[in-house]
Amino acid sequence: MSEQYGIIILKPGYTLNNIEDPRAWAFNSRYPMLKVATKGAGTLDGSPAQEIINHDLGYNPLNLLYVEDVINPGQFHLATGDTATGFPFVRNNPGDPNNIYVIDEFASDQDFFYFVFYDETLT
Amino acid sequence: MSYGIITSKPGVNVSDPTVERKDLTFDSRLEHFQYQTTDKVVFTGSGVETIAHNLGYAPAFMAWIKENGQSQWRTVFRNVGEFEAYVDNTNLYLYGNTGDTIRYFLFTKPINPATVTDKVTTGGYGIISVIPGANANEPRLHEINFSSDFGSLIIYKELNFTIEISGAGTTTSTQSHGMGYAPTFIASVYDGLNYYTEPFIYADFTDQVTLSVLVDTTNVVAECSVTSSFVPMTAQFKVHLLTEDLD
Repeated sequence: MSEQYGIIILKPGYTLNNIEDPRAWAFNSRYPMLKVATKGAGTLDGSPAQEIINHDLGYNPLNLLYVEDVINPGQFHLATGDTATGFPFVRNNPGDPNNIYVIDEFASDQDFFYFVFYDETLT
Repeated sequence: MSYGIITSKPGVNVSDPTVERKDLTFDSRLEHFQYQTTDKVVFTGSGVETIAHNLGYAPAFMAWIKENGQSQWRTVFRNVGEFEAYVDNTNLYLYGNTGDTIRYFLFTKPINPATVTDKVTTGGYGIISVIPGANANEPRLHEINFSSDFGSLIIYKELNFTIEISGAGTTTSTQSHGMGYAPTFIASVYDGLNYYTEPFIYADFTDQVTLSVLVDTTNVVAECSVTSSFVPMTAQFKVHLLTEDLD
């Protein structure tokens, strides 16, 4: 590697011969792991329904949102920015860098769970 | 705080008291996303593949699909009738069509912490860091914020795209990622009004906008598909390429 400092931990099954292969890394002190800033849960109810996740980071962070199936409780789907299918989606407003919006056009006791990361995305 | 391990990105002074956590590469006080299980499924028929995960709780997950005959991977979302993925306390369920390939990662973090039962991990050697208050000698799986036994979501590279769209149809922008394999990714998009987790899809009775990301062993492609009502428009993408291999 061009820089000879830092800490690298390889995943089980890899050897020092693989040290320059990113696929082998469990950890490399030069590259960020996804770090959870906040996590929690909420419920969407209404038409339209909106819940605000406050993270206070001051920028638009990466996030993962999981939605519990209303018909089949205990089943969880990953939500994205798909606003077209009547499924909850995640939206960030450019003028509001401290909150994430979870929205559904119609929801009745729709539970969701989220992870917000420190890692920054579009701002 | 006077104990723990913190590492920062190159060029960032880790001992600076004003350092922002987004500029850290690791902080033992924080939960990090790691996975214990990854695999890929090639569909020999259309329908559901059920994968038992044996965790006792529904884990956070992500999945990407390479559809039949395609060389590019895209994010799996709830695309009912085409492909989708979901989990419960017992299984991961993947839907696809004949010839599709889905790569999935099951993370150690539970989606709903309230469902976690006591599940103690075992292991003889390596490095482990647990969340404050947990016992590192006997942690529950979801209390581990780093273990050298697990794979990690590590951001290797970030690529930005801006696409000016002047007419209806599909417009793409391509950048070489130089990684030599098809990397996992998480992307965000901007439709000119708001930021969304990729893919972004808007549709009403007459119009549609789709912003999505495709990855193969050489390139990252940002793709905009719009109808005429929405042009001209400017779309932005930020793609975080992770170290894990989709193939």
